[in-house]
Amino acid sequence: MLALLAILREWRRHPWQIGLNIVGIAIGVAVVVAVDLANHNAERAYLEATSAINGIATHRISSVAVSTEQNNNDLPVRGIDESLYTLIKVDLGIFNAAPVIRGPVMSADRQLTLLGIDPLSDYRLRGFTLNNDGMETKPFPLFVPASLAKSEDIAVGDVITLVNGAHKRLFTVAGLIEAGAKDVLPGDVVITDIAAAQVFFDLSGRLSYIDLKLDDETRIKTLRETLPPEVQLISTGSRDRARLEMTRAFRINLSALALLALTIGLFLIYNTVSFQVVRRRPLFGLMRSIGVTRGQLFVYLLGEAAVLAVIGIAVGLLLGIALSDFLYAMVTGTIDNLYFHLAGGSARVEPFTLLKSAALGFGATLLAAAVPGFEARNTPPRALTVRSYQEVAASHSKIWAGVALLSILIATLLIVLSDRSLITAFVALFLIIIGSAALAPIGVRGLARLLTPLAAATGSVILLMAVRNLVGHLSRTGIATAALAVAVAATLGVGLMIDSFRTSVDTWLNSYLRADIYISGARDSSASLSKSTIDTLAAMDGVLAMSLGRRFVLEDSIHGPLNLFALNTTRNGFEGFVIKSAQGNDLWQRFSNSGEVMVSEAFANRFNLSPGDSFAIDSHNGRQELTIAAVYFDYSTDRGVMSLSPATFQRLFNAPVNYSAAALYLEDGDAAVTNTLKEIEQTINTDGALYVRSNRTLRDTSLEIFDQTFKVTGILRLLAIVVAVTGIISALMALMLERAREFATLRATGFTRMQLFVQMLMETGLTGLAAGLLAIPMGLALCLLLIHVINLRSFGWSMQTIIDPAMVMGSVLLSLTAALVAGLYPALRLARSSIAGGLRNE
Amino acid sequence: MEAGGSRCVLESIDLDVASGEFVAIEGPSGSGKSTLLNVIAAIEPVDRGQVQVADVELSSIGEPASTHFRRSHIGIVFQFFNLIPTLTVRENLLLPLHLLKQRDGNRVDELLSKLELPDRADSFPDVLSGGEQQRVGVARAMIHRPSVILADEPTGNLDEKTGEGVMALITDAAREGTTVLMVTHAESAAARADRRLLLRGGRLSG
Repeated sequence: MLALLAILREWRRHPWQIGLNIVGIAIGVAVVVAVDLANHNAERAYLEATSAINGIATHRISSVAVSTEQNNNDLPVRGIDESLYTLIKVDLGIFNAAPVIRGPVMSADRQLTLLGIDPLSDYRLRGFTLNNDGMETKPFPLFVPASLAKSEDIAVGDVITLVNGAHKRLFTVAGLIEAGAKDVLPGDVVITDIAAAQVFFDLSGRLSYIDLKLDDETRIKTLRETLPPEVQLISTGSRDRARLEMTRAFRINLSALALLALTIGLFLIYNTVSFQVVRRRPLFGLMRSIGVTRGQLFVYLLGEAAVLAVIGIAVGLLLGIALSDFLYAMVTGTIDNLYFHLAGGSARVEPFTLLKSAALGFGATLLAAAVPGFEARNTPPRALTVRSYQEVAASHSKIWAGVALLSILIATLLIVLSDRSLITAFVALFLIIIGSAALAPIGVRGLARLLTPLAAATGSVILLMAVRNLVGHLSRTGIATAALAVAVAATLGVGLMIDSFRTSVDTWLNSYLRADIYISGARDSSASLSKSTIDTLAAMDGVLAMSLGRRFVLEDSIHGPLNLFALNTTRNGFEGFVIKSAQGNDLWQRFSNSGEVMVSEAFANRFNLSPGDSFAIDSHNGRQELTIAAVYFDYSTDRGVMSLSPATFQRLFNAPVNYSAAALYLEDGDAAVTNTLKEIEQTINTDGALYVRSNRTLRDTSLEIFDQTFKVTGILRLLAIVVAVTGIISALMALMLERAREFATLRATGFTRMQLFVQMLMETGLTGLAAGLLAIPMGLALCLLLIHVINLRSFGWSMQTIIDPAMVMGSVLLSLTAALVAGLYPALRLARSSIAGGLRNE
Repeated sequence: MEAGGSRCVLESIDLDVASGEFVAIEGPSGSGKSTLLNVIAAIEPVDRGQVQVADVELSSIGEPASTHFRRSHIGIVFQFFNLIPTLTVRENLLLPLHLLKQRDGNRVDELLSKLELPDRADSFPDVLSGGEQQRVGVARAMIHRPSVILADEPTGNLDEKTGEGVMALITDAAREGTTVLMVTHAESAAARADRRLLLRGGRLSG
């Protein structure tokens, strides 16, 4: 025990070192906690919202060609016939059934979901109650969640305007929604009477869907057989899970970035414990010589790491919780932009996440400490007191090269052998990171060898010493250098990937967005354009041609939710598709008239489709086989999209397309945009129900959303750099302590404070340069892996590989700057340190 | 002169050393011997009194003048050699000259030959024996022909025979006109000095 005390008391003498280690562990754990909480809260928010809205319903009856999400009322096929409800309740005797009208509405600038329900049947399925406190019934009553009423300062009796595309109406707040015991209705769901909703959405005689609670398999079978072909019975649970699954790749990518920060933290811990072993060699040598066993020494070192881990984890958990709200807002914002509407709020702290992250942090710390601990354990007592021994140990180039080679080999095998697994791709990615990091000592040695003659030629002793110290203190700085290299490589790799991605999206938008003006019924393109609007737009002066389109989700019984895009376009508009692969000629003809469809690359990858293949989907005429004419590039959704002509749509769903978006091609092109926009606003869009954008605005908005999506990665990459910088500071501070006598000698010999300061900065600068140079091949490998394996497996998108030399050089500069920033404080402290104090260390 | 900050280490020290004189300072551990050398090297300031070395008044000297003073006028020999581990023997010797922006390669060769280490010129300190390291340490202290060499227990970490070799170098330096102040516990080393002083309880006696 006394021996352990002797080890632990070392920390009291150097509190800054313990502080930096705690910071390293804490940031690593904090990032994992924050990302995990953000991901889980997003998942929970979605599941709770759907659970509260679904209530105890197990099944849903909806139209085949209708998304059951936000935009179902206004899709090409408008909901289901309400006579079905009578059939189910009266003829089939299913009492646990509730009809629903559901759709998105805007109230001022806030997006809400309007649910139209029948209270008499709804109470059987949903947990919330509508409390109107004796309020007089109005034709358009509205119940709002108490949380919304509070945040928006809404009182019972207030009149609120709700808008959905061309539909606009005044609703009177009739009461507040009280949450059920279990289910909390999201704060953005407002409820009205089903009849009011039918009138509002212009859906007389129609329903969005019918929710049911069905336990009896025979009854389910009977119901399925009874329903007409244009209507489907789906399990609500599997549907909700399938929708949540859409965000899986996005969430895995975030988790991987969080793990990267923890990995860099792990390097830091490894570096510190190694350093401590090196620095306390005499103490350990002494202990070993007075009878402390190898096992005891190992346990003491692990015990010390465990103490550090506990403090670091405690701080990390608190930091993580503080960071989680911020990340949660970013994650939900991205899910909202890319996948489905998700109400915001704040992240709830989940004990399991905290436990999991704590265990991960603890395990990682012990693992990182175990390696140098094991080295110390296996070292003979005499060797522990010889400095050169550790330098020799650190210079085992062949072992490091072997580790690197093996890691990269396994990674390559994993990539080649695993066809589509994203997790395997990430394992390969981490192996490449570890393998490349193992090359750090060899790289540093090579760089020093290269620079030594150059430094000698300059005649600067300071520079020569700085270069030689690169290798001379490798056992102290090697891992910190590797950690910085990994952090910079991750920044470079992800940065290049994002740049390549952005360029690909920009190129695609340039080709795809050919029209001059785009008009949609609502911000999310869910509300339909009325026939009169379409006719007026087409008849406007200066309009050369017009394309019409409708995106919708088909809840396919085999494949789950499928994005479909019904497009009525001109040949010029059709040529906007950037074709990746096609079979045969005259695509336009086959698309427009022969019933063939085109699928996006993500769609093709998801279902392993190539041009010429057939793909079957549900339709109002049963399952229909569609021939794939071509695969095209499309970055609008990672779920992929299938484009079909109006004729094909009619054949599948026995109805004309109810268009929600129009694209105008102007005779005078760009020059006429401003005037035409003004004219549309003044003549057609007087009530502001339409969403009208120029080509440039739409393109800018798309790129803005793109940039916003990757903002979160920027923060995580920055945190990884912070952890790495902490590692460098820690290593430098410890090195400064160990080299106090050397520095004091230099000062006594005639080095000025400034010269010493410059020398220290040169040393850290060279460390940064080495890390930056190492980061280039590492970053390029990561970029290629991210583009050609991870992105393809995550989202099904291929993209151009753009290597921007400025970004590559920028990463070296980043590494250099990070190291110099890290070296600033130790160098300042060094320059101010007492010569006599340093010499007393003799 | 008084020095030592809150704890007065040196008290009423009155020491006058002639140019080219070799003075040995003896005394028990903790008597302030090293502090005295640090004061003379302008490494530690004095609280009261005056210190003048090589016509430079040190009692009110600040940074960077003290560094420039040390660079030009002082050579220090350390008990534990203190060679810079990342510089070769030749580069360690060149270091003081480099700081003075001098490039006297002949002087380095001359000293290496005198040290009997010409074949070790390109070796790093960690492959040298203790005696060899200290010989390089002495050579580094004298290479720039300083006015004063301060030696702090130069043989304290060496065996008797090796210590004799190192002392011969220091004595030679004194004979060549360099003032030498040496702190030592070794009788044989002190015996080489022109004058022996005893420092006890912060006070100096002849």
